[in-house]
Amino acid sequence: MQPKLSDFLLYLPTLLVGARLTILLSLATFCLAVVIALLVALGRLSRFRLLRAVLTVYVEFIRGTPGLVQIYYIFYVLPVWGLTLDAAMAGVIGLGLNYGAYLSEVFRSGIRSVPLTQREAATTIGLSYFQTLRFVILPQAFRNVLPPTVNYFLSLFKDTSLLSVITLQELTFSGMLLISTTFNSFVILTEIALIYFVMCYPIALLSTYLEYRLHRRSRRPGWRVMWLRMIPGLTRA
Amino acid sequence: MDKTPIVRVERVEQGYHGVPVLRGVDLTVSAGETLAIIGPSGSGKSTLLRVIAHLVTISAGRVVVDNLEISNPKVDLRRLHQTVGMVFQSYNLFPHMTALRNITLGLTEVLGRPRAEAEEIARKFLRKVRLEGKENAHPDELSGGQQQRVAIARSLALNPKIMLLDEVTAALDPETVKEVLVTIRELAEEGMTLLIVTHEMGFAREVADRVVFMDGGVVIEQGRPEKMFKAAEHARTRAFLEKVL
Repeated sequence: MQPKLSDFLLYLPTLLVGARLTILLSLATFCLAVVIALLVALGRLSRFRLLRAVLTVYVEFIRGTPGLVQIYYIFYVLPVWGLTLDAAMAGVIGLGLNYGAYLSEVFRSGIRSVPLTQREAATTIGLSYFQTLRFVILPQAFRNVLPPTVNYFLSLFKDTSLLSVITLQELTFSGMLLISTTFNSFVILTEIALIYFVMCYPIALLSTYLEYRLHRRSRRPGWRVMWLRMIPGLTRA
Repeated sequence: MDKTPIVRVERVEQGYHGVPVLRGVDLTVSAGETLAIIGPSGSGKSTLLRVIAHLVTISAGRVVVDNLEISNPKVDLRRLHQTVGMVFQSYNLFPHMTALRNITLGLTEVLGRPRAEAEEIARKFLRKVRLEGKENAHPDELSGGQQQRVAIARSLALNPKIMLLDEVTAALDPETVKEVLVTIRELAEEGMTLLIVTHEMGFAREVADRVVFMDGGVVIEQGRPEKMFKAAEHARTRAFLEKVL
């Protein structure tokens, strides 16, 4: 069957409804994951041994088991113990716990990359623990963790397709449903891939922009510079 | 000179990972005094300053700074850090902040001064260390000597009673050492209590009211600079000075 442009347009509205859910799930999951990751990272760097042990078990357990199983578990097994969550809630919590564990390792190394002497300087001018974090440690750690964090966000963005297994009709699942009725897999899969890419690439560019700004400290790099940087391989990363 | 002791260190012991660094240090500093602490590497000079700044905890002994017993776990650390300023060998400025913000941070966040007033104070201290015009420079845009003077201004702006200077010129090249020493000499003349760990023997001799020689984690000998440099009593002091002078 020859693919036709009209087919492409025909499927678009359905797929965009799925894409909308993909965006919502990604944002909610990412926010949860960042909060979890920051707390876990700080906890694992704290002096409370029991807390460190518990959090280490959490991180290693999550990293050592498949995300798919974790999501199934939260949606299908927790209700057996009386905890029933709707699909979106279960999906965000499941994927959030998963990415929280991975991101916590990024944040932990980001925080540790700020020299201890910075903390000492903050202490000697009288800043408290939280002030030191807020004004001295985290802003510096932020620069270091920005690229890997964006990396994880992009990965998470596409991993929301895992949530199709718990009935969430996000982009991938919407496409699969269309294929099952139209059998037009070539057009639909191409279209899904393109929609994912169109959504992800600007995020990668935004990251490039922020990284540039943070390092050059210029208020805003000219658009000419940014256009040049959009061409892969033209400027050195 | 006021003779009230502002720092009292009594039989202080401290160690890292079971290796003793300080083995019973006694030291008394009067308000307004300028102390130069000298001695070979690993003698515990820097650790002594870090003990007084409460960056490390001690395993035995007693430290009283401006009537604050800092060996007591319930000590008011906020007050201690306002009393004691410290400047480090590697400057330790906050690299993501301008020179001005480096100085105002403590003023706005610790002392609760309004931003405008804090900036006023910061500008005053930047002038004092002869860095007017560098308000908006980030640390990586400043030379080592300039960074160190910003670090001194950052510490001074909080109006400490005691300043601890830990080998503040050791990382600088010879030309910039001088500009930092000028600033320190002015502080000494203004009556600030200064504890200076230094390898600049000429400078120690010139500005210090008293020179303290440490070795092996204890104070071996102390006295007026002219006596210490000309007629030290202990063989270890003489041996050290012979090597470095």
